[in-house]
Amino acid sequence: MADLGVNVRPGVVVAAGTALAVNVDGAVYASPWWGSYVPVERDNVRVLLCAGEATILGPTITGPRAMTGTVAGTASVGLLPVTIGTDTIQCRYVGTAPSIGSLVLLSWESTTPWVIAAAAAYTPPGTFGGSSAPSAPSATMSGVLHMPAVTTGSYRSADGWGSPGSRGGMSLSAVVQGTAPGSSYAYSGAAFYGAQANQIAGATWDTAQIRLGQRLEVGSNNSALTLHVYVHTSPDKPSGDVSRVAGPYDYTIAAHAGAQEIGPLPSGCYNTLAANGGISITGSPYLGIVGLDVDPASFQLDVGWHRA
Amino acid sequence: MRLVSSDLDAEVAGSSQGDTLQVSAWRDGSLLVPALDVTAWSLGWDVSRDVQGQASFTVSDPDGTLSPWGMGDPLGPGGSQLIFSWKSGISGLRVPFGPWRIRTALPAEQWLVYGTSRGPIRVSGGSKVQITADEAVMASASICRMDGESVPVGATVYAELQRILRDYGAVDTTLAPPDETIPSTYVYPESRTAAVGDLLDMISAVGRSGPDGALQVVPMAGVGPVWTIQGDAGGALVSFDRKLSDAATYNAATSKGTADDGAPLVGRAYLTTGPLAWGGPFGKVPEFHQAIAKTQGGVDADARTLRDHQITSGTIDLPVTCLAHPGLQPHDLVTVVAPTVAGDIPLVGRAVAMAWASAQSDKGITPGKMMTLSVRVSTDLLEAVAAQVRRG
Repeated sequence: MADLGVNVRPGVVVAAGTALAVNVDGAVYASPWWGSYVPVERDNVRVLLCAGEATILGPTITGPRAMTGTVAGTASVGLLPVTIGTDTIQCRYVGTAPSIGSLVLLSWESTTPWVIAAAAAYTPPGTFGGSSAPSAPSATMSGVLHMPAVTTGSYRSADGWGSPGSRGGMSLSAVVQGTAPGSSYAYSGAAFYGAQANQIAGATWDTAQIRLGQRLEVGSNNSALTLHVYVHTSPDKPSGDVSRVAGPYDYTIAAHAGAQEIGPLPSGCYNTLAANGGISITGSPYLGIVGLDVDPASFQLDVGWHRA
Repeated sequence: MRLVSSDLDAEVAGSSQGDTLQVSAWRDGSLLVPALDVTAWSLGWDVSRDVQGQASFTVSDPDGTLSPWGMGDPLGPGGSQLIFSWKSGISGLRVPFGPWRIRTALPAEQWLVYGTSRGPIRVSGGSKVQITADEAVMASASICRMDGESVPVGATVYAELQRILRDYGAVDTTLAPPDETIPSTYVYPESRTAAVGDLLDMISAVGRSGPDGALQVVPMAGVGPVWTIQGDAGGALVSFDRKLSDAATYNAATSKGTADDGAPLVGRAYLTTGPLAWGGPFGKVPEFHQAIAKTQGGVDADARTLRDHQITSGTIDLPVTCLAHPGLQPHDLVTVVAPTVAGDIPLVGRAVAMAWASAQSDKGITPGKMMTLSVRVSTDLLEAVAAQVRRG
């Protein structure tokens, strides 16, 4: 016996000569039928294909069936309208049709039910105990998402994001604000995070902090200086400068500062960051932070979040 | 492309000097080792795998401090990640490869024994740690199986992709085809990667890891073309072969679905022209697909889409050796300029497998200058080449 695997396929009942059969994707199977099902042409059924044999399981319906209904009208051509909730279905009956408004038992062996009058009204004894239903493992509802920067760099109008030799030995990934001595072009540094914020899509951002790498020894490196932090809208490095939409948020960076956490940023910028925006620094004085070349965690964004 | 840059394309085609792979080790969002001393590595991608990207690294550990004993050690396989970037030695350009999850670690540690007044003591004589690592999001998804998960009524594919992967990483739908509602009858399998595959299939999409580590959802037909590989002076093509096979080649599509009332739906579409036409010498070779459509028109359209996909996105894999492009991702479309007796003919195909490794040079260990690619092209395209070659 060829092995078909075990498969349950939708089928439809069709006429095959004087008998009934079921059509599955164009193939026609005649038997066996599940015993308590009385087929009618055009019924939608499920067919179990197992070990080279098709067993016709019975009709498929979208919701569970009702035990009783209420007669809604008078019978016509052997069919009696019965309401179940808001739906009205056509049923067959035996003998004289039950009177309008009477509660009837529905017999569902075929897709057109038979009515059996009259059912006594019934109140179920309490509800099914909910405590016995198994529960799924609990979902994580809060946490801290650490987003390392994917790319860092500094833009200036003279040479864009930098090209071979244009930065006089400074790494292309360094994040710098302000104008270097002797230059007339100001840097705007930026960090980009790709689509990482999508991981907590729909969650509420509670805090957002930036972990900076150590300060670059450039400019007035023996003085504490002010870093002007902005939020921009680009997930990846654009061809020109980034578009800064919130800020400046000013933080004082000590002379020779090592790696440090700054923030939290004001909550007004969280929506932009959640939409895969990033961090930018710009303005005077000339001040820089190492980029990913030196510290892969420079400009890492640490976001505290919770879900309702 | 992980990084779209004409500078990078020029560097790939030109000479390289001092390129490096910068590898850092992370655990639970904290940087533990900023720069690992990697003495050899290889990277491989294959789109037929659940976890496409698989890598191996050999890390030098001169004082034995990095050689893991515990699963929670920086290089232990208990959830630690490697984040690495290729960096050009000429321009300083960086191409990020995102996080990769450590799956196995094999330290080979040696000991030095010193005699002291309190007896002999052992001191680490250094170690080499062999690590295998897989692209993080799908690697995590492959071991974190589904438990008690079901599709909320009316949920869409992207919402569910995001939900079932949210403990492991982000989903990036920037390049993705339009979203769809998941059929109410769909139930999740136990395997999370299989569930991701089912959801992607519902929108005729495929996944790959982005430079940020997110699962990028891209159209089944690929993205691009992003790069031209040609054999002229200054070109990137090293060698190019072709292997023709009838495996996974079809000339008909059968889409099956179920209407809301349980009625069965079947749509069929046939390839009627060309050398592989339905019923011709190639035979009748159908591909089956479970459609999410709930109408006859829907399954008909799904069958046509599948047939068109058979034609356009290709079934024949061409082995290509070319100069290594660190920006190239699986499912990127590349133009291979194929040398034929009828001249150079451009073939657009999809990168479905890639392999790239380190090389030993006089500069030490550097990224290899060559990589191997499998480029999947359509039978139609090859037929056009065949016609041109026959005409001469």
